[in-house]
Amino acid sequence: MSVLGALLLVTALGADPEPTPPPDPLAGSPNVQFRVLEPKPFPDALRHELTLQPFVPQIGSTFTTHWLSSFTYTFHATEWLGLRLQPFWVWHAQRSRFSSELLSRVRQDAAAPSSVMLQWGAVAAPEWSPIRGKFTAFGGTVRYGFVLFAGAGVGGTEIELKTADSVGPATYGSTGLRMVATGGAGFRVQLGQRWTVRLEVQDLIHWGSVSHINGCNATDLHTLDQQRTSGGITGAGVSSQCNVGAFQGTTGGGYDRSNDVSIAQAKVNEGGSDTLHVVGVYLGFGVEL
Amino acid sequence: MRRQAFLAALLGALACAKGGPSPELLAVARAPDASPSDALALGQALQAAKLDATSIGPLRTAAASPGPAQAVAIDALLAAQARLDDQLLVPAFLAAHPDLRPSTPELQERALLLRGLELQRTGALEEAEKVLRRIPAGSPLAPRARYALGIVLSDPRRPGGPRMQAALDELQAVLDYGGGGCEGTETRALAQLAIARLLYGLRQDSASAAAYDRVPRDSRVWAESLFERGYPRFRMGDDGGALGTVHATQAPQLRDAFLPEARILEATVLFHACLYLETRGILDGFTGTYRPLSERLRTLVERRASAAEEVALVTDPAQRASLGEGLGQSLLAEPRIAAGLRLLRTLDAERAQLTSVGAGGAALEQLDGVREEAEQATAQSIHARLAEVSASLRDLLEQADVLRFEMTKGEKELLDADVDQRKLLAARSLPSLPTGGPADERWRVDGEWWSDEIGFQRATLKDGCPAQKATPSVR
Amino acid sequence: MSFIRVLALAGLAALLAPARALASPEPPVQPRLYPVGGRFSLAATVGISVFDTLTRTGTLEVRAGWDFSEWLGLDASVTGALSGHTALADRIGQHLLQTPAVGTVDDLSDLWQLKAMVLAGVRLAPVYGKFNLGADLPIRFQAYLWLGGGAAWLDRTSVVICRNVTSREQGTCGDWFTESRVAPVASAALGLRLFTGVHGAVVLELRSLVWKDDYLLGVDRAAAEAGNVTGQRAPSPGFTNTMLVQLGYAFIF
Repeated sequence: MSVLGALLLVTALGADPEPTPPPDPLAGSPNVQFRVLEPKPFPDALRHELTLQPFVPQIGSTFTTHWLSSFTYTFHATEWLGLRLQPFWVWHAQRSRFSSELLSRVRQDAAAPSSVMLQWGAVAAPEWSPIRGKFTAFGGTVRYGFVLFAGAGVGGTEIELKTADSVGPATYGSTGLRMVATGGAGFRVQLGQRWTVRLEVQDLIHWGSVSHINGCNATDLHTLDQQRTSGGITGAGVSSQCNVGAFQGTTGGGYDRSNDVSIAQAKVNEGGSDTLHVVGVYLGFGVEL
Repeated sequence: MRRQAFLAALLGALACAKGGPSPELLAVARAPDASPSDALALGQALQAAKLDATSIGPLRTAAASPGPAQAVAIDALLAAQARLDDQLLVPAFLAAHPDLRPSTPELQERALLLRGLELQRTGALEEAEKVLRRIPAGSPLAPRARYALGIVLSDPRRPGGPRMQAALDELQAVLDYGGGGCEGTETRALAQLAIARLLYGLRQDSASAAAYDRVPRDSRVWAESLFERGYPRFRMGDDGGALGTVHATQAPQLRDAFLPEARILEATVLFHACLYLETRGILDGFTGTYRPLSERLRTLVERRASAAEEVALVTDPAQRASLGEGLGQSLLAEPRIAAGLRLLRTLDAERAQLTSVGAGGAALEQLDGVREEAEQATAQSIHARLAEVSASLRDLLEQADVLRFEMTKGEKELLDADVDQRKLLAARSLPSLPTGGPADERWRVDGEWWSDEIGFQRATLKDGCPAQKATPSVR
Repeated sequence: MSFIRVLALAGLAALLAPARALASPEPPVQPRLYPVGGRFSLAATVGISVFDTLTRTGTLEVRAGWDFSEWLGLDASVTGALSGHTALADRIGQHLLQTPAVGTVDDLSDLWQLKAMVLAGVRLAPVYGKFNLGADLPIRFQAYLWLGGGAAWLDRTSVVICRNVTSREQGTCGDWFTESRVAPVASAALGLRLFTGVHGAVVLELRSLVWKDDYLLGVDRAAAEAGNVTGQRAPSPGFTNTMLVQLGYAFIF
């Protein structure tokens, strides 16, 4: 027997035919119509939902890779509308594999504004659930809703200074707070009265130029660079928000952090701006109170 | 007794050496049952060999005879009944021997419950009421007892007449009991259904419909409640609700429920709206399906079949399928019939065990006696149910004929008034369907049945009656 | 039948048996308004690549399928593709050519472009559902996981190995190093069939195509620009993953 024939035989065993119900005399009648009005087993209105998205990988990134965790509080004002508050923490942000390859093979690097990474943030957004449905799988019925949301918030950002090499791991400098816009869509499944599962695709959008690194602008960095070449960074003559301490001392691997000054200066002097998208797949597990 | 014990020990040693049947099984194979004490010993030995069904025979003998063996025998008999969940033989025995007293309060309550249920089943309502009232409210058997008491109090045959409010109080009290596992859940579902029926009888239609809605969806009686809730809705004037819920009994998921009356109620609602074409379609389908079944049942009920033949009607898949239209499955689901079939299967398994050790004599004789009785009792239950269904179908077919006659009258009146009903219906629009609230999910009904949606169907229907000559209310 | 085949079939039966056992309890939906078991389907889709880095792709696919049951089907498809470099890839090439041709360079990964493909695979569709688009407008759908593989006809145009520099100043090349090959491809997809009727459904898929990458390392730039491409094949080139969003229509007979 061929493999395909065996496949057909085996799977034919799984093809349980559905029973054909008798014809309904009222089916075609123009004088009678039926509708199902089924109360939602567990309504959402005026309930609070707490969702944890423990691992969110960034997808479709070019120069950076973000892995983050987020927590979402959603207040369901009605069955259709809600408001979500979502803080997030990026616990892994680094140059992408493509960016590393570009640098090592052809000695080209992404522009500074295109290399800014998110560190943390919080966004708020109204949430709309225009479509509700249900599906059957493995003998059970599951209710779900399609959700859309868009909003804004704020986030902390950073940029890579020294790349990872034989001397030690990469170093980073803060590029300050930025506004973060967000938008996304996904599905929300209710399991019983309390538990929910969400699968959403969400974009965290931030934009701007790299004008400050560790609070130091181009002038501050020039001053620090001159101090470095003269014998040591003192921090004198820089603006008050310039975090001189970030360029002093050594890392755990013995790298002298004052070397970051020239790198930071080059990035700040590049100019330009860019809009960056951190698109992630958010699988979350929630509880509804 | 000493010789018997020695024989058992010897056979046991042989069995262990050879790895054969259990020593208890071997011991019963040759034990006598001449006197009540012998019968008790045999019964206990059978129970030790896990042959509970066979043990009913000798234990009844021992329990029926006054003497030192009686008290022990009644306790052992009740223990066997609990393990087997026997609803035929032991309850009948207890009802026939009302003075037997088990040794512990728990067993006494159990005996009272079984007696009470048997008395209620056989129509001895006054005695049943007295017996069931003796079970304390805190007993784990109280929910079942109070449910049965509620049924007794509401029975129209009750001496002194039914006491509806008292029945409602008892049934309501059943709902307040929690726990009880599967049996507790089933009892509460039955009580909920009974409350709905009583409220309908008291013409409290809104409360009755609400009570029907509370029957749990996963209970054995949910399909019945689905169809029955059409009655209070129809009487309240909620034709759309009545038609919707009754129409839902056609769902494929409910094909194992036997509900012929649902079609008559559906036809009645449509007839009330003067939708004669639709009514005729429902009635034609009804008679096409159930007239042949009614004739088949009449033949089955009138024949003098043996107990084995009656039981085979339900146990043989081909014969059961010939009953058709969910009747076979609904018979299997009847608690008393299911209990009887379960007992017969257990007895057959025990027979195989006894014959495997080459047993003859007392044990096998006892088993055959018990089996014959169990088969008779089961067959009687099957026959009674078939007779009930046959009579009910005859009534329903007559109702269908009455509806057809009334329809013909109505159509004649339309003709006499020169009313073209087709034009009348075409000119009228369907009332809009209810939209529900924000937390309601609305779905079109288009021939695909989802299990969770069954019971939430609502209908809207045109009024086909001419304004001046509305059909008199059939409510 | 060979031992391997027996093992494979036993494994398949083991895979299907629990699914069948799960399906044996009364199905929640009876009867399905749009059953697919025992039916043949023919579909056409157009697709575009998403998450592009160095290449972008557009596809046109024709697919034939057979559904053994409501939840298991088999598909075979033929795809033609139009693909090219992204603006980023062109800029990388341009910037490299503007630097002096000194030393060696390693080519970049993930530059193979799809030209044509044949695929066959299994479609597992345990999910059947519906949603309301408007009042009384239910849309029914099947959601499925598609797993399979096939062969892909691929072309590659380098962005670092130029055989004829036309302008060093402007970083333009007249003849980039190109290659072609046929490679095995594995594919997985998540998809929806949104039924428009008993005989048709809109198909929406997110599909992943994976093939083994292949490129040169240590290419002497000066020699390459003189027309002599040197270098050695990367020993562990990894895999290229191309994600496509495909939209189309299936006729179900």
